[in-house]
Amino acid sequence: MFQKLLLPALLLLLAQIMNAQTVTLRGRVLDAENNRPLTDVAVVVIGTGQIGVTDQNGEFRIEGLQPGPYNLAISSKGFFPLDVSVNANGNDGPAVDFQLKRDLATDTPSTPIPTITLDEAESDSEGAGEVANLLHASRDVFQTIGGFGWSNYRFRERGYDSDQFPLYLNGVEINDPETGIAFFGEFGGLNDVLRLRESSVGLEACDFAFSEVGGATRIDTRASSQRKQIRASYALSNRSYDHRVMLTASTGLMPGGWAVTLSGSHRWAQEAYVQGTFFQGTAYFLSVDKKFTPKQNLNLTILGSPSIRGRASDSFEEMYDLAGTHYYNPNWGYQNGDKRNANVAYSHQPIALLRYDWTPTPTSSITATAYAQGGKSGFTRLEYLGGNPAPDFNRNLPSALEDPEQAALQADLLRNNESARQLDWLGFYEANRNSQETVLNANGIAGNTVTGNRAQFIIEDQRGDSKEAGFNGVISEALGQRAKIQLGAHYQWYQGRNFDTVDDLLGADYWLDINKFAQQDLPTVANARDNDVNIPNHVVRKGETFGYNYDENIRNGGLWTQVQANMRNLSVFAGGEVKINNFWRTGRLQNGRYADNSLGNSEKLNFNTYGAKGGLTYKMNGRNYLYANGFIGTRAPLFRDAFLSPRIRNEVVPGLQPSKVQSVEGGYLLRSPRLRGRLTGYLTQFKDETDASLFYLYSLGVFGTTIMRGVDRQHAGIEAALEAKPFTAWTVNAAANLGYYHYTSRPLLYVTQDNSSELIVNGATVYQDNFLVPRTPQTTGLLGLKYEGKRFWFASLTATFADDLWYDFDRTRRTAAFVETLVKDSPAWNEAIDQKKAPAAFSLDFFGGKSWKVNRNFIYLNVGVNNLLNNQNIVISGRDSYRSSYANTVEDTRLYTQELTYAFGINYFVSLTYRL
Amino acid sequence: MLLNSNTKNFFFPALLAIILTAGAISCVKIEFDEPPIGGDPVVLVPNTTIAQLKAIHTSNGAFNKVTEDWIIGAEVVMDDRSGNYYKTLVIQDATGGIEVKFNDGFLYQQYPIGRTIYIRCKDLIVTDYNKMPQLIGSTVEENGQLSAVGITDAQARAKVVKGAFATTRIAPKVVTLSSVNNKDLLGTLIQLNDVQFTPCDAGKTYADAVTQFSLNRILEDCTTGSELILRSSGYALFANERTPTGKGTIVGTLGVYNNDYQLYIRNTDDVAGMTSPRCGATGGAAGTLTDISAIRSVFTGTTTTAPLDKKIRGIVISDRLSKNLNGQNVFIQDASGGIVVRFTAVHCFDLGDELEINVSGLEISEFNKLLQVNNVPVDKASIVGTGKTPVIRTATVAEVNANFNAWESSLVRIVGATITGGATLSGSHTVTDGSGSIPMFNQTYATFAGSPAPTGPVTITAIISDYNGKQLILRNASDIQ
Repeated sequence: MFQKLLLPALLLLLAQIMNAQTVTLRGRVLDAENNRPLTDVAVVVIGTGQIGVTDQNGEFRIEGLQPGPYNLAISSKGFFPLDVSVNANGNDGPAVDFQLKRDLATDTPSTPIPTITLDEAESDSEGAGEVANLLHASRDVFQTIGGFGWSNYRFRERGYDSDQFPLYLNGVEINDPETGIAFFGEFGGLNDVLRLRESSVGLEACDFAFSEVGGATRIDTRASSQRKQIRASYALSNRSYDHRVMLTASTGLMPGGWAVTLSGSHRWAQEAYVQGTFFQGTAYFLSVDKKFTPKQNLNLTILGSPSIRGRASDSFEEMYDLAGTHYYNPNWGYQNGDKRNANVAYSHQPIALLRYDWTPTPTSSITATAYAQGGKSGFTRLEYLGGNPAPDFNRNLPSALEDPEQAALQADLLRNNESARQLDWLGFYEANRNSQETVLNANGIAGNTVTGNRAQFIIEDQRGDSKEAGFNGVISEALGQRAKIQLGAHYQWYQGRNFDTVDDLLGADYWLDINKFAQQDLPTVANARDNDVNIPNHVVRKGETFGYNYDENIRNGGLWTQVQANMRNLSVFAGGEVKINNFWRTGRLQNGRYADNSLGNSEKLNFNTYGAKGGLTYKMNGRNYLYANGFIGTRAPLFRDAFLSPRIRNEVVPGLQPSKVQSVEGGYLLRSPRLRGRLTGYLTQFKDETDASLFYLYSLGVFGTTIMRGVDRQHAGIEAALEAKPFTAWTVNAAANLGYYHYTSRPLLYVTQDNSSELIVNGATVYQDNFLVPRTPQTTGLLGLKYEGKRFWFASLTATFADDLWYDFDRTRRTAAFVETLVKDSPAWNEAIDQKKAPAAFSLDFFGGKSWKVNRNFIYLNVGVNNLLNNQNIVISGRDSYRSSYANTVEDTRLYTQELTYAFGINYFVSLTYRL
Repeated sequence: MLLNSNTKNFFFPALLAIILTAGAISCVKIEFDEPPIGGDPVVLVPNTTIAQLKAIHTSNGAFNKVTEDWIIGAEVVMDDRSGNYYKTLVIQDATGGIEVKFNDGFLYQQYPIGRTIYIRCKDLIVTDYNKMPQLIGSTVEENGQLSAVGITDAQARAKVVKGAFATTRIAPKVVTLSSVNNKDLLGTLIQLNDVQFTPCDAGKTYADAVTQFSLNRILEDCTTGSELILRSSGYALFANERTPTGKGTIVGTLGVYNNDYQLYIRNTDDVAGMTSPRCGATGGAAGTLTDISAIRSVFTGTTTTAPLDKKIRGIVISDRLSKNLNGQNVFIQDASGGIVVRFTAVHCFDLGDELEINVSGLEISEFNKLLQVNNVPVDKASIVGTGKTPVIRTATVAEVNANFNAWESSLVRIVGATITGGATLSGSHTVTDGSGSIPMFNQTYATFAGSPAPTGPVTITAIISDYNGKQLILRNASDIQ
């Protein structure tokens, strides 16, 4: 059966003669597994020095050959090299198809993304676990080099958010519709079976979807596309987990048209890199194919990755100094001698996909996928009646104390007494056990008196469950010899369930579900304090819902098309999409502060959006290309940005409207066997964006929401990458991104807090014009050297550089109201409004591997060591602290602190794989 | 055929081995036991009493740092759970009590009432806050003046030791109101028997929960006429609750503000004993309930007296706080009508209070043609409800004029009325609607007298009154909408 797969790969034909003197050899190189064109594949005519490189359609031309027989060497990373004989006889026949067989084993060392980058994506300490653009597995030289090299700096291509990088699983977009983020946790630990990836870069044509301005990536999970193998691996690391075992078995295509792939893994760490963080995840994957005819294939894929992790949180520089480490984590403390983390994130959202592929004619194909996904996710945190228990609560810090003597005492305590830097679990239990209180008319039942220990501290579990189903279909049709058209349709039904539950009462008898602030602020309003007026004086026990409870209902649908035409030296494409975006909130609690605006359905919001793009590529010759692409479109606001206080009430952000996106890019591509490169300039404008973020108002001890309307930003920059093979076995990589991403408007700011009926800020102007877009280094550089030995080993050393990582900034501080009492250009004025950035960072990374053949089986060893210099001062995210202290006034420059996260020091990932 | 036999032989043992190994070593601990309750609480041996500690503080306003290795042991008798105290405890031993001021709040989570705590006093400071003895952590100089700073987190960890919970809590010392002004009682738990809130303070909120201002309510006893302030914080959870109207036992800690001794309760359980009938109250519940209209009809043109053993019940429709009527007068209204009650002294009955007044044998007379129950001792009236809303009759001016005598001393609402006769609301005006006009008079000393009179048509709510002629009077500024 192995032979059967190889057979089509050996098919070949001859090139044709252009004229009597010389002939042109034309051909097309395809992936044997799915017949997709392979780009950037080198085709060497042995003995002539003539080399061709395939273009975006997998086609190559080698001109100026004498008629006669030739041997060709066709090679590409991740594929078995192919040596074939052809006869260049001058007959002007059709281009010949050459099929390359995927070699997943060599794919691993030469394209380190599958093992390393996925792991890095998981290490996000906020637990969001976003799949950044580094997941792209394209053959694009910039993404290949930079995407991996800069992932440690949380580099985002072109500064875009992850909603600009949609990820498709068998045609289905898996980005979370509430936030636009693709959450990696949903399929972490399935590296073996998610290798078949394909990306479109930037604004270029995309065959499988109408891509966003960042591009798009698709993953093919069909069992018939997986290599036949059994593969077992063990990995040892000190990053977000310590151990991983993984098992994968694929049958390949079997008689009767069946193919099955099974994969599973387990990853765990009692304590990962950061103190108090643990990890445990088990992943499973099943894919079954049935090829009814060579033209019809049905696939069922089921995958899931339940995981649970103890999280780390960022902290203040002052606290890092006192703790003596940049990996201080305020989320944990000892309980009965064991480290217990209060912030535990978990998720299990399995997905099932049913995919049908049909090729009714040689020139047309249809792919249709229906899917369903659902499950639990959430995270826990300490909730408390009063007295913020965070050990790094800023009022506990020396800088919050006026008396220098007392400040010194506090500094001594935090520096020398580790328990003072940790959560005091025993103290929580004690406080809860000595808290006898009586609730009259409990749960709204007259005469129902509950006496017991009222919890002062609990572990709450903030759930974000979801159910989702949808459909996606793409029809592709060739229009004559040189053009093709795609038509696509998709629809998504989504329901998010958001609520808070009691996870652990920590020794108390009940939690009283009231808003302590409403009780004080609105003493005369009946039921104002009740989070659910239908259950006043709600006595909540373990596992019960309290606080907030609402659904997010989202319905999205769209139609898109794209036409591509390839002329001799010019390729052009144009495409367009129309979408409907429909969503609303359904409140399940009637909140006492918003009794007439919290229960039931909100207004149903509907936004119709469009996108249009097009571009052209001019082929100067087989090695040099010029291209230019453009995009214009609108985007619906995301659910999470659309409501003033989504946890509590139905009120929509005033003046909500779709944002506008315009983008252009242009560049130069170089493709030759020893030199591959790309140089691209890009300019993108986002206009009229709405941006909400939930934050914890430390001064008030409640959650609040900041919403900005009318955010405009511009992302401009240059991407450059070069991969050179100056000598046999040596590869030199170089890449750079020079970006300038900045805000270009003064948006309006709204701030709500969950416990107040009033807007804290109502439409204040935010003076952020020319502030820099945070959350990614805007300037990056990379230089790498790789050696591939003859005995199946390789080693690489990569130096990376990142700068202009700007910190996220507190919008409330950049308002006229905030600075009105400050003296212009005084130190406090500058501290309050200047945007801070991280120091420039440098890192040295090693990656190497070796493989052995044992009988007919293979053993692979891969070793990745990042940050060889153990630089522990690399800031990878920063934000203005929202914590403010009563002791500090706005004139006190100590008020303006940032909370920072640092990249790991020296860290490693070693894997040993056995394949048969 | 999924696998050939060779690989099959290898695969399944390998699979099993790996999964078993993983399972055995990957047991990540996620669930946690509850820590044992209490454990062995620390017991220190005190070597100093609170009385000895206080003794080093000899002049008011001074800050006296403790220089010896003194340890005191005391029981918490006041914490900050209810919010009546803030960042401060009151602790008490056999020799007396003292306030302990901290830098952080939510002390009850660590030091709840009933817990024994030990304080290593060295380097802490004994001072007073307006004569109330306090133990504090440090001082800070501001504008050349030293001010107190509470015990910080770092100090508390080093100096304040949490001990056991008292099995029998300190019993409050029973004292009489007349003997309460005693320095030795400061910072201790006391109990007062047979006391009540003065008529003006009974049934009132403990503090102003809306503005969060603290308020004083006065306690009195029935025999000596002695009084004591009960002071409550506007932040207290019970601030919006009402003081008991009965008489009985109250418990609290004693404080002082300069020369004013003050009682603080921990929560409203401390007033649970104030349920007995008030002393000095003869009215209220006594007598048979009768309609206000029935009392009005007793008057036939000359001064007379109300029948015996009768009481009336009505909602206060006048607002003493806006001062638009004599402080001894109140308008009350029931379903049958309204009437003026003139007390022998200034009263404390607020808009919306529901009163029962024993009118047995009291004078029924007219004052400038306005019918009133006259010379009513304040204790003939008792509050039976608060926050009540009376019925307001909507009518035209012509209807008011036509029913003037029957509707006297009740509320009326006139829609589309124009007010003429002055730029402000002070003094005499005329109210006109499409049907006619009627005089309106507001006292020059009313709190809203200086407010501008509306120029356009408005809706007016007013009491129908008489001063030798028809007259509307406003309750307060919100009566004009």
